[in-house]
Amino acid sequence: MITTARFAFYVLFHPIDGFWELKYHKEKTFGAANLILALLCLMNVASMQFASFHYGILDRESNNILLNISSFVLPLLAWTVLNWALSTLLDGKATMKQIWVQSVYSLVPLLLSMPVLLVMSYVMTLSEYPFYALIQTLAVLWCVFLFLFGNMTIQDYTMSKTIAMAFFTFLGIAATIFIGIILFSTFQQLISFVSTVITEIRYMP
Amino acid sequence: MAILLTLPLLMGSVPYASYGYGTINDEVFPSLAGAAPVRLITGADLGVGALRNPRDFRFGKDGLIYLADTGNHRILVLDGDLSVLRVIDGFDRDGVRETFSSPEGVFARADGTLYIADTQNGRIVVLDKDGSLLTLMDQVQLTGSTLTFRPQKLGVDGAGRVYVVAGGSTEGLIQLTDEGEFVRFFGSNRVRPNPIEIIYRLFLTRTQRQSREQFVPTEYSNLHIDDIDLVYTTTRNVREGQLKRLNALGDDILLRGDTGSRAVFGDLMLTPRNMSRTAQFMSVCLDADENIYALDNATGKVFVYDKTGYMKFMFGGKGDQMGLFADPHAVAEKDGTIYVLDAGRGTVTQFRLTEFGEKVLLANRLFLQGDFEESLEPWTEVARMDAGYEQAWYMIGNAYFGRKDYAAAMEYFELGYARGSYSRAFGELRDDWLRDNFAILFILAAVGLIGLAVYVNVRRRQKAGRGKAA
Repeated sequence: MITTARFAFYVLFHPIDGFWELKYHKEKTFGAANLILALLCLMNVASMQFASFHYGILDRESNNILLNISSFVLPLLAWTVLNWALSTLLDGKATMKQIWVQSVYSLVPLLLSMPVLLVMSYVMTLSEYPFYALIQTLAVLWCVFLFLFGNMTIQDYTMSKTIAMAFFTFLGIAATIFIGIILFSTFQQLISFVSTVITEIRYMP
Repeated sequence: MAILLTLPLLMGSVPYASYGYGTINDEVFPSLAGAAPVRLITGADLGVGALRNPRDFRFGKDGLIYLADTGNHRILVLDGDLSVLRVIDGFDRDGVRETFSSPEGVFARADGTLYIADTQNGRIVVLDKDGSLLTLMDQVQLTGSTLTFRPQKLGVDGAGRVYVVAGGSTEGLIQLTDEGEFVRFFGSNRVRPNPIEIIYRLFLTRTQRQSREQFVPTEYSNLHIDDIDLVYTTTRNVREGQLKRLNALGDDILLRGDTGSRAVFGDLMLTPRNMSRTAQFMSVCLDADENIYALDNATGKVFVYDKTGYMKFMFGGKGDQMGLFADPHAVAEKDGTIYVLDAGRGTVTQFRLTEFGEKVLLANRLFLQGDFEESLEPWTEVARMDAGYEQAWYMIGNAYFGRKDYAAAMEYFELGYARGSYSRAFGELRDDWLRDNFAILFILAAVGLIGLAVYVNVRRRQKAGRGKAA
């Protein structure tokens, strides 16, 4: 598993080969991906909590670790499910597990940038923020690059189709959130209705 | 919520909550009271009968207090101890006695020349200090406006120019010559069009459009002329420019803090009674250090800002106890004593700065003068009295920064949530460290580089050797 996780460094520079290997020839990729994700969450919390005062968030006491982690994991989960759901309809070749693994491996640049940024926050003043932002942006761009090539490789798509699929996946995520909110509020109404009825009955003269 | 619950504990003997504005999320934090009520004065106490709907209370430039007892159509002249010197209820004009009609504003120049905004008569009466008529400005023609001249508040600068706040004057202050000739409208408030309303109007017919509310600038509610003849104004019902300091061109040159909620002019504490952050400033005055005392008619609070626009503390409120008001209309300050005129009850409430308030203003004055070192002791004192007073920590940090004790400065800036200043102190600390350790760092870097070069060279040779062997 650890060896497979370390394979992330190869994927970083050889996305097409790397993701191909990952899909067909590597073992325990799911566990490895989850290990990487766990590290990512840990690093994210650490950089929230331990960044220097001037680079961190002002109000550390209201920092919510669960919220912090879920802001990371939930979108990833939504992406995986929706991307799988759409790609199965449009002859994608990846399983849901493979999409998950690919997504997490694509986030490795972020994982690598975080400790660097954390250290930088203790060395730089706010006026040197552009350097900080540069690394941040590079990491994100690299992630996007890996995401696209990774998805393309494991789904066996062309680049244009991958980009179109990404677009539709985002639409799907938006729709899911929308439906989720509707469901949530409907149930809320339903529950309050039932509880009101119960109260009415209990106090009926 | 927690703040609301703990406030009564901290109020001590004053009947109102006192609080400051925090940096994080527009938070409001409880603080000690900056001023406390000491005396309530009615018309009966003054020996002139009950005041009726008095609208103006102002220190003249001659040091006397002038009180416009609007409902009784008279002006009271008081000395610093609040005893009545004169009651002016009319004047002689060519041998004929004339009276005032609801005079709402009054102003006295250094030589005692008295300007009275005789509101319902639509004129300004200028009397000398003995009460005989100097000038009568009753023929004011407002060029380019259909407005009837109803002067409410006025101020006169050193050169004798008269600035008038008039009812319904949306064009700004009215500037008159010392003879009462109209000069110009001055420093008009700007209209801020509402984009939704503009789009909505596109779909309306002309008649419908005309029946909609008009976009007109808001009229000023009061003014105050400072020692260098700049005009402070207050405006009600606006989100920006509630307080202004106008220069000769009519531009607003009031400083407004640097960032964040501390720069807001208005109440950040939202309660069921006060659901709006729009302050209804009715009156403004300055103290000797140019701190601004602004009276908010909606909440009944007097907000104290320093000259850079930072809220320091506030006092007063709406209610029935001493220190609270029904319909406050004027605020005036002299030597740490603040007077608030309540038009609703016809009373004057006298406040005195508390020890805390005095310390804050003293420390702040020293700080703004640039005496960071001097301000350290009073700011420390403020922080000791009220550790929740965020600005104090920031100011202490600045004092240490000035002392080049950057590590301490960083500690205090962190307590004061001052990120930019923290970063500055940190930068200085880092650069100092780099400077001190430059030699070592340089040697380390050189050794590292040479080592790397040697290593690479050796590796290359090894590889080449292996290649040959194969």
